[in-house]
Amino acid sequence: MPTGYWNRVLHVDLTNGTTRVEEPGEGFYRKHMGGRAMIAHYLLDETPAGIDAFDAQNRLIFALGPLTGTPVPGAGRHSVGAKSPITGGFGESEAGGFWGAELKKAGWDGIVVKGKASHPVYLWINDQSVEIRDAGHLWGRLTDDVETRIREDHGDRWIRIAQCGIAGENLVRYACIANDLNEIAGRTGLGAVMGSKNLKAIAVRGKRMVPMANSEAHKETAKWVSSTMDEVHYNFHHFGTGAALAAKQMEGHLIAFNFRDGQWDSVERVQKIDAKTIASTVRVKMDGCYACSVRCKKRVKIDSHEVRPEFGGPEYETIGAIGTNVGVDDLVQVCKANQWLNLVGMDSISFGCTVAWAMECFELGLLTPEDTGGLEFKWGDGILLNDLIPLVARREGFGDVLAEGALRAARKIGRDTENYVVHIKGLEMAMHDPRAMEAMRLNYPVTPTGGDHTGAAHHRTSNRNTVGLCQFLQYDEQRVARLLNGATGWETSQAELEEQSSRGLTMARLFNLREGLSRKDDVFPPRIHEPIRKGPLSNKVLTREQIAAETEAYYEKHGWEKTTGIPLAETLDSHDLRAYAGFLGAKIPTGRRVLVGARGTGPEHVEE
Amino acid sequence: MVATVIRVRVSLHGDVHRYRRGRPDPFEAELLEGTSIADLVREIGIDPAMKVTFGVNGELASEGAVLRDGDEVLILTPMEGGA
Repeated sequence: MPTGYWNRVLHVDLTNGTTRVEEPGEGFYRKHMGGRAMIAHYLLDETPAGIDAFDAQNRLIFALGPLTGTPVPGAGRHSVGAKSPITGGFGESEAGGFWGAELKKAGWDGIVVKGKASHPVYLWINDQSVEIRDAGHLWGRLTDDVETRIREDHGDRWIRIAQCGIAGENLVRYACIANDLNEIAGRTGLGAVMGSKNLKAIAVRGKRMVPMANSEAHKETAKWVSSTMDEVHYNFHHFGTGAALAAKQMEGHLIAFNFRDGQWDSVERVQKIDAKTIASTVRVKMDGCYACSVRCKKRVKIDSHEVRPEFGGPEYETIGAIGTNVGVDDLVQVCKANQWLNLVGMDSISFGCTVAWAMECFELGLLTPEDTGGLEFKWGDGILLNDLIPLVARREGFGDVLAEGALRAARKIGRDTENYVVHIKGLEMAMHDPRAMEAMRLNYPVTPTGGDHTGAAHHRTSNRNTVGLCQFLQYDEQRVARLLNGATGWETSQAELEEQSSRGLTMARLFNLREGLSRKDDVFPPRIHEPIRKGPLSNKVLTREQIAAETEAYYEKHGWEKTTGIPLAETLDSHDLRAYAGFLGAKIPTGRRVLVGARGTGPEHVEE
Repeated sequence: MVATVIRVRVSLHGDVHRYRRGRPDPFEAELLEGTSIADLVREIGIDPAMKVTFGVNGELASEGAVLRDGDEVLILTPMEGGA
């Protein structure tokens, strides 16, 4: 067995209340490595095609990477996956913090949960010991309360807890899985899958050192990060994310008013909610994830509104989704909403985009007080934003409609409101405008998870999510390979890493194809083909023809058939994926795979 | 002939803020009339290889733009992320 792994994957059957340990062996890890490919393996291998995301047969998979929990900055990442209740396809999200590293230190490489418990339960993992415990006293409680009670139950304040929140209990389709109260596997509704299984939380305590072949690359990298902080990671270290909103405003691609405007009326207003203002007003400190000296996580405190530092502070995506995109320039309301989203366990991006859709439709008269139970959806109303969070999390009143996500809400309301939903594959789009950002233009339509900025359709991001490394660490790919090899004892080349990334993407593609998604879903919504209304980019139009051509080029690059995006027979064989593609039958296309050079893989991006 | 001095207010955002580390920011800069953004960038000591965006009075500006008395100058390194 390679080091960096324990050769132990925990399988939990909640229907029967049983657990078992799988020892997958080196071949499995060499093939799937971690993160995305590991998730895709269990989804393709264990779930029947076409099930509902809330079916007990769906799997909820927590997949670590070989670097998760190793002593190097950025190694506090883990991936979570399931069939997504919002896209109906491949659901995957990543989180930082300490939970993933703690699971690794407990001696596990991943957890696969199936079935549905007859009553609320939580999983208690104490090193190699695993118990399914009653969670009756935790159900319906906010995340901070749950964390406190579990730690008190076991008398250990160092227990790390991942939990679904009350939004997950109530099957809000964009419920997240929160760990450490402010680290969030936010996208694709995985908290709702967790809630559907009556699984409130997974509490972990681990006390082992992760085995490594050679720690030299880790030591050298940790030293390099610390000694070059001001040259390489200055912004993240001092401000975290969201420090340069003014640039987006001036360049004309601020996410504003449901992706309509590209700008607010002044740069001064935008700066009221950026990270620099946060640093000089409500921020009390910066904090970090496991083993990370960059410490990019802001923590805010506003006594007058009971905003507490343990819930972190708004990161860029949240500032965009519940700030700029809905016209809210009140930093107190943004910080308060950020805390409440973490308390109930809801993805800030999907929530904010769904509210932005409702605000625009309300402005246009397509949504009326009769629809909303009397609520007035007006741009900039931060109080409404905060009032909506418990309504959505509990599915009360119009909150029940919004809890379905913007696309399903629009289909329920009708009246052409679907034209104003900004999504890919049903997942609300993250806070990067593809009309301005080439990397996002090339990423969004083909990302297996939909409108997801971390969905990683390209090699750099995909590899980070596979090995368990943070996107924010400015490591070049040679360094990533050195770290991987130091942990595992392998001699993985950069080219092999890219092949691995393509393999994981092909597996996710297979899952989406199996679940009925296809080329028709690899498109932008109407809003993105309209010009941005204001600012210097207002004369730029992104045509459907351009996107179609770029999508075809992407398919070819990964060895998928150019017009359908179905992986070619040769690609399936070279990745050893035939066993997962039986559902395609005779539809597997033949044809030559276009080999792409190790570095000829298209533009990457520095934004996460 | 005596050169005229202008005063501009400068603010650095993102990675480029490191050139003001430990010092007030925003800050007032006294410059000679005719100073361009490129001159100001050199004055601050910003690495010319650094990818930066400039703004004057809330509008995007080019490196060659000549500054005027009372201008509000933003110098930024765009980089966002995180949920």
